[in-house]
Amino acid sequence: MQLPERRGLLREPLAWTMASVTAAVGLHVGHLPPWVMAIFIVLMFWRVLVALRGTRLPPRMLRVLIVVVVVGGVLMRYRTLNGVDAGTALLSLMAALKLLETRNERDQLVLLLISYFLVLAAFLYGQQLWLLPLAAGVAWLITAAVLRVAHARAPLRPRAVLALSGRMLLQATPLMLVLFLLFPRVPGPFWALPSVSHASSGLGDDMAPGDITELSLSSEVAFRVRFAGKVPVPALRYWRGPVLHDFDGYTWSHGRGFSQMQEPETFEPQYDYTLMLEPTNNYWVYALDLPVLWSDGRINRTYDYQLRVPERIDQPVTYQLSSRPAYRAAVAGLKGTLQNRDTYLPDDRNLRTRELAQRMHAKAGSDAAYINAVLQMFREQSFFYTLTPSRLDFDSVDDFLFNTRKGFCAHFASAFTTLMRAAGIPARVVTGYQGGEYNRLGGYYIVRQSDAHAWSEVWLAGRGWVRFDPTAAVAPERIERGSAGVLGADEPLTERIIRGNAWIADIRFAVDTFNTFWRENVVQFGAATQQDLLKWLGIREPDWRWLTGLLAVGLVLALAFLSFVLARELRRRERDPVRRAYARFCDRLEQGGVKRAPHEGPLDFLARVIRERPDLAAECEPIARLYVQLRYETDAPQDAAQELSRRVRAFHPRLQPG
Amino acid sequence: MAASPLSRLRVFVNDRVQRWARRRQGPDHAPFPLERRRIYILPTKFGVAYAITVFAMLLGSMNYNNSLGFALTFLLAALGLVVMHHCHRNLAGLVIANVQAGEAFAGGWLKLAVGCENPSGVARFGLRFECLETVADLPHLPAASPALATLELPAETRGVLRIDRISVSTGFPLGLFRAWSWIYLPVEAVVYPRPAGEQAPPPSAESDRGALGLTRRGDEDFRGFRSYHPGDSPRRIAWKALARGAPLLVKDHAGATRAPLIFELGQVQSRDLERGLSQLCRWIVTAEAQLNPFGLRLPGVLIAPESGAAHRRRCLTALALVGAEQPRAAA
Repeated sequence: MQLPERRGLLREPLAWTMASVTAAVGLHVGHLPPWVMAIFIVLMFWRVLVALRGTRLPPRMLRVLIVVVVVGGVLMRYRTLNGVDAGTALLSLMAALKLLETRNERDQLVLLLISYFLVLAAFLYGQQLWLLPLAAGVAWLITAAVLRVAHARAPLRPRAVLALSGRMLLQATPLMLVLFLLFPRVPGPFWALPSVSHASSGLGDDMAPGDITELSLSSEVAFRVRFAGKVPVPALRYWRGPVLHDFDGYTWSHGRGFSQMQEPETFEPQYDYTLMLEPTNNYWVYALDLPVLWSDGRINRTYDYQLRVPERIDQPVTYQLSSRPAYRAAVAGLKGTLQNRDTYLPDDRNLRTRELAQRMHAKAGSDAAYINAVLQMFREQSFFYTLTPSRLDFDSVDDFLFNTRKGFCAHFASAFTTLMRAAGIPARVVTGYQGGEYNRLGGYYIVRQSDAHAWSEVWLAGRGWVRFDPTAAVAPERIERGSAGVLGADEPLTERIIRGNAWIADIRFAVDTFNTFWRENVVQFGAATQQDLLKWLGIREPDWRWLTGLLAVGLVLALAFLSFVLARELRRRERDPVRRAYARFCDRLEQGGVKRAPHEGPLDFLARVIRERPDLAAECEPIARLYVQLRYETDAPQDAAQELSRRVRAFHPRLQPG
Repeated sequence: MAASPLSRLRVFVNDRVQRWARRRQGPDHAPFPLERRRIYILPTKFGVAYAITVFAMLLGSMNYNNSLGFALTFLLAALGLVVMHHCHRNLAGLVIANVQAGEAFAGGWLKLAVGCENPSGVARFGLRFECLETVADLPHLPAASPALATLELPAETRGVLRIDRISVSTGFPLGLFRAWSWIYLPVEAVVYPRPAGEQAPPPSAESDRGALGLTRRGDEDFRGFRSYHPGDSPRRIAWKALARGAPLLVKDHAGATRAPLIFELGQVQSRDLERGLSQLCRWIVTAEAQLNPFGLRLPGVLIAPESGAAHRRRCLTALALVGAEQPRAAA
């Protein structure tokens, strides 16, 4: 079947379809690989050319070849056709291909259904507020296209098509809200699909020197914290992340070891807070050192007091947590395995450091004195805190301590921990965040990637694990004022501008507050929120029966309202006030038992009314005269129209008794 | 062609539904508005596909617990409900003013004009009238205006074509639903025999003036004026006299009375009834076109010689009804 496309015939619906498909694929610009976008654009241009020139659609063999190439490409890239990424790429390309052979209405409608699906897929990549108007616009366009394709012959201008479909979407909105709020949400996935791929952001499972430096330049939000009641002072705001035990001389890593959890002894004060975590695509939850209570049953606290969840966090999540910064952990002593792991250093690496540690430890006499000596060394010798340290050698700690002496928190924590272990003191590196910026509009703290930090924990007999932050020894302002305090010229220009202008900072706070509100109330709306909603409505024991009952009531009400609105539109509205008044007069007389025949003029009708209902004559006569005056005479008094409406309003004929 | 069990089931169900609707509604009397209770609505194939898509989207949103996904899914579901109301409203209140059948010869087309009116304040789109598998589309019916939809039905055989039911439907606005209503305004359309046959018309008994007589002879046989009767050919009206202020007069020709041409089946050579009727039909059509007066004699029917559109109709109807005791019913 190779018919040349008939030129000019019904090309407008096709244009709507192409615009819709393009817009829907456009929502995926950020996450489709460039070659997919390129093929899509080429295929679209091809179709446009075919439509404009009226030439033949590409032959069947060529189309089959393209399909094979496209499916092969997607398979090569994703190793699967399943899952969101591969599915999105495949749907986009198949939509463009389908367009290439599209002639009839049915194909176009199928394409438009696919476009709706692509909009949904865009939400799987992110549910930011700014996406909402974009996606709503695309959905509107698709709906308009469906209207146009389904009724290609209706004489509707594009504006009318958009207006009508927009109005229908607006009319659908109340129903949508009822469904959104009350449709019972079943938590949890039903089947395991490969999740959406996100590059993991924030801290990783290991730490090489220089790793955290990259994060320090990013103003992206890591998480937000809203304290209920007391707020810890800045020096206590250590947000505990991955604890790193294993060191190969260059890189610290979490390792695979395991130990028995020793319940820490904790002391007041306790800080309760809501943690709103951005997706990290990792397993850990950042909590104020040291977390003691958590809301979510899936959270697990490991032996090194790190909160972990069983599945990767690929969606924004909110947790209720409580922490107590004053604690004594593992006072009873370390188990053998942990003792071994946390004192281990590779034998043949960083030899100068080991030698220095043994020398200093012997000189200090005790562990505590030794720690002080090391911190004093960082403080008093020429160590510098900088974001742009030089590259370190293979024996990174040796190179740092004896050579470059310029570094960031990762360098200091690494060197400090190595020095401890070299002296036989159990020590480990803890990564996480330190600090947080207060959003005074939203009343919560924003912790950004630039607040990423690394510090050390040292096990001391009788005291258990104790936190030491060597960075604080070198750059105390880092802990007091956050990373901005030490960045200076290294701070990105945009950040410097925002910090320099209070009102720009306020705008950023306002945007962040709005986004947070959006996230808490819309994106994370779910079964729990529905329960809260029902409780707020005064239902003591909310369950799904209440939800479905309310849903039914809500739907009935919304549909009744819709019917009412539509029926009202259907009634013709009389614009002319004089005619409207007279029509109302006739309606009321009809209720009173005298119906005007279509052929009856106002005076004939009046005569009949007077015959049939003499009791109404006094009221009807001036009304009919006024109407005749206004309609057929040139010298009607100025206020005659108002007079007419006034009299009609006051006219209430009752049915004749008997 | 053996009908598949599925299509037979469909026919059966359709039949039952139609009978039920007929009982429910009773006969109609034009003009009447399409009330809500007589408008039926069902999803189309595309509507079902749309529903499946929305359901798949719901599953996707649930699986990924995606709030905006839920919002979009619910918006589309709600849109479906809104569209259903719009579709229903697109028919509601439409006034069916009348149904009129034109004239048709067997083998030709019968024009069936459905007059409708949109008394409401909103325009209607995509109306479709259907009758006997014939479709007439009315893409646009503006607010507060009337329109005429013309169905062209195939007129297959001579006789009475009884049209019981016309359906009016719409898929507007998104084609997700089809709302329809049945109009029961019985119309009996007469289908004339197919004009056919090569036989020349019979000559007049008294003179050789046949079908070609009058126009050639000119005014020679002009006998005078007589007053106009409905059915007289407009060509014979004395326009000049009318223009001068005289009453409506018709020129009377002597030839017309001297040669009363009466067609009858006996003049046709063929013994076959239908062929004969076809031949008579052709003679009548030709004679009328040439303004020749003619009469018609059929078993039990005698139509005196006359001319004019009404006369022609009467004669052709008589031909159509030959042998038709009962009009054949067509659903």
